[in-house]
Amino acid sequence: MIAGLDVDGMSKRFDGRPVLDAVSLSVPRGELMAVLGPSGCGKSTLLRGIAGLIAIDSGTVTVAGRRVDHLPVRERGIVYLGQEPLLFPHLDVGGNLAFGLRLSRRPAQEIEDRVRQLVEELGLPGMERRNPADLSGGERQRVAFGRALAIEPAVLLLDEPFSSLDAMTRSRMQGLFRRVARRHAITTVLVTHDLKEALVMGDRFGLMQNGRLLSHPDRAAFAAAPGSGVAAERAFWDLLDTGPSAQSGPAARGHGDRDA
Amino acid sequence: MIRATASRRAAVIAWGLAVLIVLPYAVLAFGAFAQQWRYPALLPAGWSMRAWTALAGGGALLDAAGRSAVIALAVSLLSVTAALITSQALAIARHRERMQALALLPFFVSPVVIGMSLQQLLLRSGLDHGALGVLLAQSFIAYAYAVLLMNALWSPTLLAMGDAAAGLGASKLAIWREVWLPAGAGVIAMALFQTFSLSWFDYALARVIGGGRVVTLPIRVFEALSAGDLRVASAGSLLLVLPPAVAFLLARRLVAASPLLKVSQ
Repeated sequence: MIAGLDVDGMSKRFDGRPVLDAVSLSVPRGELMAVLGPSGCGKSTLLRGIAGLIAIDSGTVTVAGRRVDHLPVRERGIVYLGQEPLLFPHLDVGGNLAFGLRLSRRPAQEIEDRVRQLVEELGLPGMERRNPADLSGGERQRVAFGRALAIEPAVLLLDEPFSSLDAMTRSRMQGLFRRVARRHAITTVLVTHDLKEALVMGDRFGLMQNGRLLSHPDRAAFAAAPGSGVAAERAFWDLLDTGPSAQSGPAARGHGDRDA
Repeated sequence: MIRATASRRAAVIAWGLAVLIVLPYAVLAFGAFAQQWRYPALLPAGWSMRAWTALAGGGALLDAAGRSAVIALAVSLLSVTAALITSQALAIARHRERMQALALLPFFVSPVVIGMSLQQLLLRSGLDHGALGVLLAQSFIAYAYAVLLMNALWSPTLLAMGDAAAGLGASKLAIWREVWLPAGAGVIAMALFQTFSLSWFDYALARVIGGGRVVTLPIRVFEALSAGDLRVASAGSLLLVLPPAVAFLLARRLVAASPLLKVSQ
């Protein structure tokens, strides 16, 4: 297993209440772990703790074999992408895509080439000079994704990034994100409360409840897990019986690709 | 029919407001250039530059205007810079509502009282009766206003943009330089304008702390007014209004172009 992201014993309390209770997870390089759980179960806190956006009480975070939990956010090689794309409003699309590259003082020609490549890859041609305020929700998410890809992060954390999009755009975005993250071999953790989204995008799965995480290395183990809940399990089997991923075999990741 | 009546009413209100706003300035302009303007004449009998020559006498006017401009610029830069740092710290503070309430304390004390107590402090530190003392005293008041204005800047969205920039490799300095300052330019410009005006128009603090040695433009205008020279006072008042008006127009353009207001996230 090529080292991707390893979290060991991460705990966090808010006002004495445990929000993360010795959470551990392991995602090999280039794979996507989908973490499911109800609202308020600690999913976002987990991602923010990994990214360094909040201080954790205990635990370690290792990225590609290097411990990063003592490092500031900017040195971890981890990009956190939330529900809101948070594009920089004073920069156009090209400026947003080039942001991280400019900070690392890459040569102008390299930045230009990389931006052009991302524009093509993410289906944003002709939008380089557009203002973020003039973009649709899906386009903004694509630019935020491209801005993250530009710096080639080791780990990408997706915190329900598609939840504010309409169903059709969401489906396209899921496929696009999955395909591009795989092509760039980016280790990804996606948190969602949408079972279908988790099944479409995930290689491995986690179920979070009351600050504890139960990890499952594949779809079958996840489906069989008693902790996944009756309703979720039923929805899962329904999806397998009737959904398009039923024809694509156990690697439902192809399902997402077709949507794009 | 209803729409036409409403539009006529709106036009009347707009003209009424315009007259109310322009009228005092028109009176000042007539007074500043009048040779003679005796009651009950509606307009001056003749025109003259006497008031301006008297006001400019020996370069005193330019001196006062220059001193006012330097002090006001320094006050606005100092207070807004301090307020930016304070308000950002308050926005992420654990008990931010309580902390933000503390920043409002200067509003509960009269500027004269603040001036008197600051004078005592400055006296003991040897800074009284000097431009630096006036600058510090005005900055103290302007800082509270600036913190209040800046509180509006630090929305969760702007703070989260800082987190996003950090994830992309930005240092704390780069977050300020590349994200917070340009994204918040409109609010910052408005705060610079407000604090500039506060200092530019200040008479009481400059008089108390400056002790007559720091002669600013408002002090020159009040001197003319106390001497009963309404022509010179009118000319001085016009001059007093001009820089803040220009600053306001500039700030308004920046606010209108403010990217934070354009994003519909």
